Formats: sequence, structure tokens, C-alpha cells
Amino acid sequence: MPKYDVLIVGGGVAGLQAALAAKYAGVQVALLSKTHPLRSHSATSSDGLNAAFGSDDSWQQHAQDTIWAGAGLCDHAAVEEMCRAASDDIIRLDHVGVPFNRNAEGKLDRWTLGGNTLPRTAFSADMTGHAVLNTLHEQCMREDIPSHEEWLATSLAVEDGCCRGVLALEFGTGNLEAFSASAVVLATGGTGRVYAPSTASQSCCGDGMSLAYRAGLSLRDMEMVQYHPLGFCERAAFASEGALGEGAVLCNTDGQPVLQANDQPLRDALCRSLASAGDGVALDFRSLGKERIGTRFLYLGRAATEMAGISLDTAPLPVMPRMHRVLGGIRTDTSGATALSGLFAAGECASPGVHGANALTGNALTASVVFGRRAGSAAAAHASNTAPQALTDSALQDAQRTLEAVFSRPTTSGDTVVTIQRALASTMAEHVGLVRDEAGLREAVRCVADLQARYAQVGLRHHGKMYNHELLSFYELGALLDVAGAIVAAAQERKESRGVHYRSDFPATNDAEGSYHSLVTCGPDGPVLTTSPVNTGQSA
Amino acid sequence: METTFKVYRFDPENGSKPDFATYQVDLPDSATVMDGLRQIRDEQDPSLAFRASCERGSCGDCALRINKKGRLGCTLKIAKTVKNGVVTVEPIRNIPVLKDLVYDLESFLWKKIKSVQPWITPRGPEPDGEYVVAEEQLAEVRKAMSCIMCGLCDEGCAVIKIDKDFVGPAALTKAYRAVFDPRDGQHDERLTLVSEPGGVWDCTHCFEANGHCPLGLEPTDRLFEVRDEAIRQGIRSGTQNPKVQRHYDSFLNSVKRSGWLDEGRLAIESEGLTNVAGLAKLLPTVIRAIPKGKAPMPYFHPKRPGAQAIRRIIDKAQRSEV
Ligand SMILES: Cc1cc2nc3c(=O)[nH]c(=O)nc-3n(C[C@H](O)[C@H](O)[C@H](O)COP(=O)(O)OP(=O)(O)OC[C@H]3O[C@@H](n4cnc5c(N)ncnc54)[C@H](O)[C@@H]3O)c2cc1C
Ligand code: SF4
Ligand code: FES
Repeated sequence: MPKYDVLIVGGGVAGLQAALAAKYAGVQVALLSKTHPLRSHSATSSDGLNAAFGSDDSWQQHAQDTIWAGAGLCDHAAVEEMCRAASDDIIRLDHVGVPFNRNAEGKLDRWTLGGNTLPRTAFSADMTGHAVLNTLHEQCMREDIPSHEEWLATSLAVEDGCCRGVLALEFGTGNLEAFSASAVVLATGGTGRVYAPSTASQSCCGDGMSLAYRAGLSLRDMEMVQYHPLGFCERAAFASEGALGEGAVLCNTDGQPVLQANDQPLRDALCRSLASAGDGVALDFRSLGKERIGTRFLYLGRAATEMAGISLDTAPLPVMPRMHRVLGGIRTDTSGATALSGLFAAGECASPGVHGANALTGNALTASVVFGRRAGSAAAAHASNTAPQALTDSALQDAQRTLEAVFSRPTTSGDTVVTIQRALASTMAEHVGLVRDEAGLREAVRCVADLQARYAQVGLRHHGKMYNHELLSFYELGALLDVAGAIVAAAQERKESRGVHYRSDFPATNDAEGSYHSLVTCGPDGPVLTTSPVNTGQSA
Repeated sequence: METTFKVYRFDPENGSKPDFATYQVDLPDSATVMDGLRQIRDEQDPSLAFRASCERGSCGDCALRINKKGRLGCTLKIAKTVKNGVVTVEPIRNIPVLKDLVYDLESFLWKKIKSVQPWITPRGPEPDGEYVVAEEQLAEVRKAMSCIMCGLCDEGCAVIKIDKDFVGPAALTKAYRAVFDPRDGQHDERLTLVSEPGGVWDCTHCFEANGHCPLGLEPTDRLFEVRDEAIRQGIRSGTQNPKVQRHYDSFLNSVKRSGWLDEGRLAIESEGLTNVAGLAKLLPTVIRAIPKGKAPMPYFHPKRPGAQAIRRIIDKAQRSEV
């Protein structure tokens, strides 16, 4: 049984930051991820990272913008933590080699992106996530951090009220293995595939959220589902919002601008106005010229040609809002600690409370960088103060029995993992999308419960052990259903509109009743919803 | 659009030999090859294995050989590649296949990437803020870093095909990223490392890598730039690679003397005049070449017209390098 002080589950930006922080703290740390780290969803992240640099900006101003965007649901201590730390973290990324774009003085260039009142988004063309991920991966290679790739964490090993490791399935062999660790950091990323279409990579199935949920932890603010305004019409790809900062113009079918000059609205407002503008909105880059498009939009220039058949210097690119990410996640404190001793979480799967009901563009990657590092350090400290406890064999035996039971299910129901997943994603898009109402949400509750019941029966058509994608999808679907249940329960309960949660039957914000965090836990009969107050005090 | 997919299948679990299976898919005209593979797996044959993650050409996970060319399955439209109604999909070449379209990148790519130590080590004390660097200095580093590690340049590489130890254009593009990053402090060490056997000198200048990169990153040119930088820094070969240094010197001396290449001399001097075992290895080749009149006589090499002028050019270039 592999044993580590700290095990990081997930090799995206948050996971790699956590791994490096734990390594620097001097403990034995390893990564475990279901894709190779460089294939993580972070590789697609485009716009950049926010931090206050220079004398015209301050962390307080960054915090103020963040809190304004969060529409009353940001935890102020978490926001303060992130905004104070962001500039040092970004400078550190620069020192280890992220090729951030430079201004005329050779210092970090910055974009002004949605909701930010000042230019504070550091970027590396429109491939910032890719550049950060690659740079962190280089440093992990330098530090010789062991990496278990193409391993799917299937459950947490919880003994005596503490997390003592994870159970994981190796795709290549189909074998289950117990990984023992004094501390575990979940950095499993987001859950975009609970909707279709979405901007998510294949790996974004809410796995970590579900692992925590099944271990009894709460998922916070799950009703807050953010759409991205600039999705390509047909695919998961989208244009960086940096395009708007660079001067590309959103136009309607008549070629008229949809936004006022210098307007950088938050994503939710922009998405709703684009959705109501109907088809035909396009992003026009032509005024930028070929050279600028080539150097600033390394990815988009290529993707638009290959995927949409459009050359950005000659024709506008049709765009439309796409489900992007859930802003909530596993409830943590500002060190990434969860309510389960030994379990930490960071990145898109976690909710330290910085996004509230809407996120500033550029704050997501920033949160992964800052809280990834903090979670790695806190996990290392926890491991250093904890006597190593060997995992008992029973956890592995249980997981093996569960797997055998899945393989022995009949396939007679006519359902497959794929049919259930498709039904789930279209239900969510139809009833829990940009605009919601009671009837739709009720229908969604019914559908998700029905799909859960079908999932409990579904058998696998393929019984091979090596690279059995159907088995992988089976585990992922279980996670997606958990997450969907939490989103729907929280969305139904919130009878108002706030941030990205917009209800046509309750279009106004109701501060008297709506200023709370939703918390969803796993009950015997499905999701159980409670609430907690929003912490608007500063950190100590 | 109805299309026939011919897909490479190999399952070590059932002991059968690799073969192609045929499937019919029906997808909209805008569909990609990945959409086709997914439809097969979702609706016809759940045992089919392939990799894909981002589905937008960002992560490099889906590199495949499609209709005999290395491509990214997730961005290549069926309509663009289909030939007579057929799309043939195979794993990339020169790499161990694990199952169906899933192959083993560990020794093919990841180990090689690590071997060039492509991480930035700060040179000297770090500044308080960001490094002040001209945008022009970082622009090419950024472009090289946009490499998605798909491995398609390595799959096209003529050397890797016969020498699995060649580190290859993908790893050397990664090396480029560190070599030309003005923030790095391990410049010469890395250049020495990539000049060792298996490194930059093992490239045969076939330019295949350039033609295979789906991002147009020109990995062959980047490899040359790394090598040129090593030469500029006086690192003409790694510590384990004296043959390269001798080859380089002999080449230069020969052209300087006669205006063209004395191939016999080059062969002998590259092995080393005192390297008896190395010289003995040349003998069979010489013996085979003599009856065909193809064994050049070393050192008795006539000068070409204008040899003096060529010598002056080289002298001038050498003075300007100093
Ligand atoms: C297209 C796109 C563009 C974006 N652009 C921006 C931007 O410009 N600025 C910004 O601030 N934010 C942006 N974001 C958001 C930001 O990129 C993400 O929030 C951030 O990258 C998430 O990082 P992560 O490390 O948490 O997750 P990920 O990068 O998704 O990594 C998750 C990791 O966990 C692994 N994993 C998942 N489940 C399991 C399991 N069960 N077992 C083992 N491993 C598992 C995966 O393989 C992967 O390695 C963007 C997001 C998207 C979708
Ligand atoms: S250089 Fe091009 S072909 Fe080679 S790995 Fe990188 S992206 Fe792929
Ligand atoms: S799946 Fe990422 S490049 Fe194709």
C-alpha cells in the first residue's frame, strides 16, 4: 500500500500548487490524478490571474470589486486572504517561469476584465492556465514529486473520524488500491459536465465534491452556476474575455455593438443580455489586425480557424453563452481545511467563500493558486503533527466488493451510463440554466431523483479491466448526480435572484431572506439543505 | 454525414492480435473525428479505448494517426479528412500501444521531457517584484511554451523511428523554453545536457517535426536554435559526446583548407586519430566502398576554386564570434 504524509488528488493548477507547498514544507507528498496533470482542465483556462499591482491599485480595491461581484455572499476573511496574497503568488509564478505578457517597461501587462474596476489581470496571451500549469509541472518535476497518473480516486478512507487516505482505481489495470496518507488535499476541479453544452473538459465531473459529500461534508453555494459569455457556437471552446479588453467588439446581426465602449460587465449580466439578443451575436476582432491577433490570441486564432472555420482577421466569430462552472463547492476555511480532520480542499472543487454569488473574471485561477498553496501548507502541517496511522484492509475490501457488485449487475434495464448522463446534462441545461423558475426546478428535482434511481440499477456492458471507460464514466456519473442533486436543492430553496442565480419568478434580490450560504449535505433520502450566515467580518 | 470508421483495435486482455474494426457513424457535417470515436464508444462498442480531455485542441491528449497523418482527433473535422467515405484511426507510430488507441507516453515523451530539466532555476537573488524583461524576449518563449505535448513531432521524427534514445523535438522544444527564458540561471548546464548523446546533435535535419506540429511551432527550428546557442556559448558537445566536437572541428578545418568537405578525413577525425577501436569500425565500410570507387582518399583532397576566399570568410566569421 503506497503511503505518504500528504496525498494530493488532482493535478490541475490547485493540485500542483498544493503539492509544491507541501514539498517545500518538507513532508513526503505525492500526486494522484485521473488525467496526466498537463491534460487537466486548467490547461484550457485563458484569461489570466487577478492581483493588485502598482500604486494605482490595492488589495483592498481588489477585495472591494470581488465583494461587489459576489452580491452579498462573499466571506470577507477569505476574500481578504486571497487579495492580500495574490500579488506575491503571481510574482512567485513569474520567478519560476510563467511567461506573463510585459508592458513597454518590461513589467507585467494587465487586462481589465469583467467586473474589475482597474487593469489587474496578469496574462500569458490567451493561454494563461496552460502556461501556469506547465510552469508548475516543471517545478514538480524539479522537486521529483511522485505522480500517480490515470488513477481515479473512488472514495475517501475515513477511520475514527479522520481522513486517512483514498481508495483509487488505476485505469490501465482496473485494479483498486488504497493510498494511505496523514492528510489528503482534494483538488479535483469543477463539475461542468453536469450540463451540456458546457465549457468543461471531460474530467470535470465533480468527483471531489462527491467524495466529500459522501463523507458527510457540506457543499456550499452550489446553486451559483456561472455561464461564460463567449462560447463557440458548437463546441466546448470559447474566446478569452481578454478579447473585450483588447478591443474586440461584440456585435449583433446588423454589425451593431452590443456593449457600450469600455463596458466590462460581469459575466451573468453579459450572458443574459446575449441570450436575450438571440442567435447572431459575434465577436469581431478585425480592428485588432492580424499581428496583434497572432501574438495576443495564440490559442483562439488557431481554434477559431480549426473549429469554427473562421479567420479572426477577416470575419467575426459567432459566440453564445455556455455553462462554465459552479462557483460553490466543498466548504473549507481559508487554509483549505474541511470539517473532516485530515481532509483539505482547494481549487474549483472547493468553496473557501471568495466567489459568493458571482466571480470576477480572473479570480478563479487566482483562487486556485492562492488556496492551492495554502491547502498544501496546511496539509503538510497537519501531517507533521499527526502520528501516521496505517489504513486497515477493510476500506479496500469494501471498495472491491462494491466494484464486483457493479460488474455483476444485469444490463437488462435498457439504460446505459451514457443515456443517464445525457439525460442529466440536458435536464440541467433546460431547467437549471441561466434563467430558472419554480416549475422548472421542481421538474429538475423529479428528474434527478429518477436518474439516481436508474443509476442504482444500471449495469455495465463492458467488463474488461484495462482502460474501461464505461467503468470510469460509471464513477463519474455517480459524482455528477450527487452534484446535480445539490445544485437543484439549493437553487429551489433560493427564492430570489442574486448574482448568477436568476429566477424569473423572483427577479429581485431579497436581502432580508437571501443573505445566506446554502449548505447541502447527503441525507438518507437525498440532499438535505441547511444554511449558514455569511461572514462579513475581516480576518483576525 | 455517414462515414465508415476503420479503427485500430488491440486488447492484450483477450490475447488477440491487433486488427482493424469497422463501424458506421452518422454525424453532422461539423463533427470531428473525436465525435465519431465517441459515438462508436457510446452507442456501439463500449470496449473501445482512447484518450481525450479538453476537446478543443488545448491539452494534447487526443493525438492519433488519422488517415495516415498525425492529427488531434478533437479538432479535426471528419469532412476535412474523410477519403472515399472512410476515416482510418490508429495510435501514433513508434510507441508501445497499451490498448486500442491508448499508448504509453511514459518513455516516449514524459521521461524525455524531464531529462532536459526544463524548469526555471532563478539566477542569483530574485527581484522583489517581477523580472523586468522586454516583451520581445518572452514572446518566443511563450510561443514555444504553448506546446501541448501532443508528441506528434516525435511521432513524425525520422530519428526516433530508429533510435528510441533520441530525446526528440518535443523535449527539445521544451528545452528551448528554458534555454531562451531570460529568467533562468541554468543556461550553460542545460545546454551541456542537451548536447550529450541523444540530444541536439542526433537530429538529422529531416524537418519532419515542423511538418507534423499541429500548432505550427516549428520544433525542428527550435532544436537548431538551441544547438546554435550551445555553439555560441562554446558548448559544442556534452562531456559524453567528444565525437561531436571532433566532427565539428574536422568539418571546419576541412572546409577551411580545401573549400569543401574531405569526407575521408571527417570520418577518421570524428572517430579520433588515436581511437584504434573506432577507426577499426570504419574498415568494413571502406572495404565495401573501394571496389565501387566511393572510398574518398583522406587528406589528398584537391582544393576547389575560390578556396582562399572561403577561408577568409571563415576567418572573418570566427573573429567576429570572438
Ligand atoms: C475554459 C475555461 C477558461 C477559464 N479561464 C479562466 C481565466 O481566464 N481566469 C480564471 O481565473 N479562471 C478561469 N477559469 C477557471 C479556472 O481555470 C479553474 O477554476 C481552475 O483552473 C481550476 O483548477 P483546478 O486545479 O481546481 O482544477 P482542474 O484543472 O480541473 O484539475 C483537476 C484535476 O483533478 C483530477 N481529478 C478529477 N477528479 C479526480 C478523481 N476522482 N481522482 C483523481 N483525480 C481527479 C483531474 O484529472 C485534474 O488533474 C476557466 C475555466 C474554464 C473552463
Ligand atoms: S512541438 Fe508541436 S507537435 Fe511537438 S509536442 Fe509540441 S505541440 Fe505537439
Ligand atoms: S482532447 Fe485536448 S487536444 Fe484533443
